[in-house]
Amino acid sequence: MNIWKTISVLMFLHYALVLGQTLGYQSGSAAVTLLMPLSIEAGNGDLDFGDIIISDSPHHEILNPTNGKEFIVKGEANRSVTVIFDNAELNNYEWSSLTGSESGNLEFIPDVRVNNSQSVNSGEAIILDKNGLVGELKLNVGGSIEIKSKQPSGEYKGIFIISVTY
Amino acid sequence: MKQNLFVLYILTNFTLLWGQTNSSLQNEIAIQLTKGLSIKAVNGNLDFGSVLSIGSEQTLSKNPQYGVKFEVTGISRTKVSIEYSSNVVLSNFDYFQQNGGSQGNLSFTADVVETSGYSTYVSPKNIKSGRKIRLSSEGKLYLWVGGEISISENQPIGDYEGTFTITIAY
Repeated sequence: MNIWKTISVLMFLHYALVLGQTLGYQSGSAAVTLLMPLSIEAGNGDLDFGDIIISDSPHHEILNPTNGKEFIVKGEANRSVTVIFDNAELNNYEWSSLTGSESGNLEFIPDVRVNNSQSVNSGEAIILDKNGLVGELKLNVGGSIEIKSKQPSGEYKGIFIISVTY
Repeated sequence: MKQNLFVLYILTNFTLLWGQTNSSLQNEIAIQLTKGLSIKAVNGNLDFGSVLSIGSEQTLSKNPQYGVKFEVTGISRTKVSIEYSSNVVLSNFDYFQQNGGSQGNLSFTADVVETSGYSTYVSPKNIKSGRKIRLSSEGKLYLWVGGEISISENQPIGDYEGTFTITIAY
């Protein structure tokens, strides 16, 4: 018996218990909205900025969302979801400890778009478009990283987290 | 008992719904920063000066210590390959065009040494073109270039010029 059937049975039992304890008959309506479970999965692409030659002057490395990472959100059609994400820190600690070189940090500032066009801010609500029986939303993530003038060399890694909620 | 069932039902229902109403995913971000590789002439030159044509063969020599000094800068402890023109042709073509006389060529044979990360002429080692050498812990390598020019007995007079090229790569 799946979880939604279990809920339905429990609701019916609850309603029956309450009804049996009253001196007279009462009637009312019970209602529940069953939502399609919300999920987010990884699509194509990645957030690898590649090999960058350090120069004497600071500069920004930019990854266009079109060339970045795709995330696919699935849930209840025509229902809005709130998208949440934040900046991420990268460091070269692992590489630095292996080579004995100087360690350093970088900050990744994400650029999130809906279907490669509309820009999305963290905390913004977006409606899931109907796609067959489910609602769907495609998010494309790119971003920028500032390289300082005396930035230590090495392999920098970090983790970007994106969340969605009804 | 009925109240406990009711509370349990509410808690169970709430927990089930909450677990399906939000979802998150994480993805790795990566970037590789590499120091650029550069080479620059620090001091010196490959000018052998003015030589009197004496009608017989001569060989002019310039010790690398008094030739051109190059500084290579890159990622510390990383190997770089060094390629250079072992033999360079010098020509008096421009002089000949302006002043007449005879056109001639000379051959310059390079003599290249390295002193690792030492900027002074310490423990020089000859290197052949194509050799790979590891940069110092500071990411430095010093190359010194001298060489020889052979002059034939009937060498036309004039200003002879040519280009010596040295290339480095990771």
